[in-house]
Amino acid sequence: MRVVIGEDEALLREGLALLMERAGFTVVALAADADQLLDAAREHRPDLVVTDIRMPPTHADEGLRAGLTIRREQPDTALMVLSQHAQRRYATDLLAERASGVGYLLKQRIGDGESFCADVRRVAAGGTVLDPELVGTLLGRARPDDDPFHGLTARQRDVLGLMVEGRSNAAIAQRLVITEKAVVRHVSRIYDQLELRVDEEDHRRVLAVVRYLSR
Amino acid sequence: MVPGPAPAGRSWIAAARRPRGSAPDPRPRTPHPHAPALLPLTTAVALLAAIEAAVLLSQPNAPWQLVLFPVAACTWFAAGTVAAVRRPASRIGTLLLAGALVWLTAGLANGPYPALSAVGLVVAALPLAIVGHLLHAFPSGRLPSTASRVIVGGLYVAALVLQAPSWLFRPDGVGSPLQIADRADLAQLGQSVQDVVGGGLMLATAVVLVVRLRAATPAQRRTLAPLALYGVAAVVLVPTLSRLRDPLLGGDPLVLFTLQAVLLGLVPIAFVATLLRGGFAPTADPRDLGARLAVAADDERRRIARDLHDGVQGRLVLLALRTNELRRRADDADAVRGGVDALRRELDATQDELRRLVRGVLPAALAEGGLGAAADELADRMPIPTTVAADDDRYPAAVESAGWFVVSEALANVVKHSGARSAAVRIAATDRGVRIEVDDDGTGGATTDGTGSGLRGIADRVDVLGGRLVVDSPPGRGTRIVVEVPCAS
Repeated sequence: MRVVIGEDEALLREGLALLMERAGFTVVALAADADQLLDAAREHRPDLVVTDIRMPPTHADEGLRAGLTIRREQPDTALMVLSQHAQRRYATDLLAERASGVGYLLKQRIGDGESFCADVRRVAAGGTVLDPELVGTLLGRARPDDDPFHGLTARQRDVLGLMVEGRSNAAIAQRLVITEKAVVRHVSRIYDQLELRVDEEDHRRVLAVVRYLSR
Repeated sequence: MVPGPAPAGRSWIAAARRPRGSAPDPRPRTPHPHAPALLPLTTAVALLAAIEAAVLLSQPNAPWQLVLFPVAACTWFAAGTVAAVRRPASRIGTLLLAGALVWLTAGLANGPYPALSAVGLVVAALPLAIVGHLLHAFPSGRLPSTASRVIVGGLYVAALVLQAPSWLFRPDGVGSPLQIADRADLAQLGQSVQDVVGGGLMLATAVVLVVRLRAATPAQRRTLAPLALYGVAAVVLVPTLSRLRDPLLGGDPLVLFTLQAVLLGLVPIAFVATLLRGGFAPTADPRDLGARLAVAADDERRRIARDLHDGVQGRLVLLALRTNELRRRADDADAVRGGVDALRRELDATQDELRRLVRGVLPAALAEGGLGAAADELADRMPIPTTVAADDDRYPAAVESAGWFVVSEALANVVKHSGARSAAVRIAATDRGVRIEVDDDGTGGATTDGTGSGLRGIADRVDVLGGRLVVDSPPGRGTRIVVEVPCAS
């Protein structure tokens, strides 16, 4: 699995490269700003790009823009973006074109090397990953009293949260210690309650639910 | 019910209204720049007025009405002093004090000293111009628009320059040293020109005032309209009465003069009474404003320091303690693994805390994604459903900072005071800058006085950037806050 890493903080960049190499990835290039990232991706055509959202020169969302450009030019490339803060707008931008093979995590998740790499592998395999903090904010937004969201049970909300994180039914079942069939039942009740028509598994449903929750 | 677009340039009414009967701002005001001089100045003016009155009246056959000049000077001076002391941020006081000096000087025209008399003649029409100036500059004392500046400039030109034929061509009182020819006809012509020009300028003034009144709220209009009417009427009537002297008043010039002096002499009382009665908050003097902003910034710093100390620093100390423990049990691999995991969990929690703090101070969303993204973040964390309608426009950093502060404070107020069930934020680019609206459906009744200073903070921040704030908050009908900030781009 060939990776290009974009990160302007030198120590973090090296640390991330080391972490990923140890986990079996091949780091083919390191970039310190958005332009370098674009060049590296075009030259090396990696399977996966891991980048900070905020990069020089303007320290706005260069990294994200560069990542999305790379995805447009090389649609098979998976993209994992990292940020100090969880922002809803980035998630919607990221998911907008294609929800498969994208991830958005808080930088601090790197601290747990194993689970970070597991998430990266999920993204590289075509799944979707959204940081639990972002999901928490999405679920926690105040809603009008008549919003159907209020009709979900606690268990259904747990399932919904894990769905939005991008986990598969099997993973949700494992996390909540219930059967996969139970998960499927919950999921279909959630769709009914929220009046969503989602036929796909995994990544498409993330987009649909995120859109619903973002109203 | 937001008033119409602001008149060109800075708004006449710079801040939101303060309801009548509310307690005056308890914070100490920075005193008027001339305050230390007021006591000696009052003594000096009183003395001068008395002397002038004595001199004028000591002339043979002097009518008592001559004393109306120094008396008018005293009313203008008294009014100016009151305005300067009670509303130091407004320049109206200074204008009135200047007017008092002009009255004293004009009174000299009727005195026995030719040189002084000449000076008096030159400034004789100035009081009218000053009243016009007062009308345009109310209540801040500054001229808010180019139109005002042009008209007032014209008034001063009419009062001084067009006054020239009166003293060049006609002796008044004792043979004037400035006279170059005795041409009563030219003097008369000059007078007519002055009247026409002055009248035209006052018409323009009336138009400007009507436009401003239309942009004001109905309550403001009730307070300001009588003043505008009186002021314009006074300035127009005084020369008109001179014209109509014969048919109207049976030709007694003294009665006419008394009328004119009374009209003009009472103008400052009307102005100051309106200024004090309020209906509009004291205008933002940069010194006052600077002090308030500095206090607010200090409070904010203190809050941040306290949050860092209580939240983050505390946690870091605990983490350090844990590492001690780990060291002690370094030989027990399981204990070390468990300890390290616990350490990482605590680090995560500290990161969360820090992130929360930073978001409260100035969120990354603002620098990275702009005002709309930052407003989204604020809205997401509201306890009541809050919608945000904003696009991705970016504005200069100072404007975005202030805009974020406005939304943040306004939403905090909604949570704290309004009891609303929903709120809405709208951010849109205008051709002059950005317009931010925060609505809620709560109890209304929001004001910018001292209590719960959130709105005052918004007003200050907005003022510094030359923007304007309008608060529409009828009790029981929710609150709408509209802020417009210009961008110099």
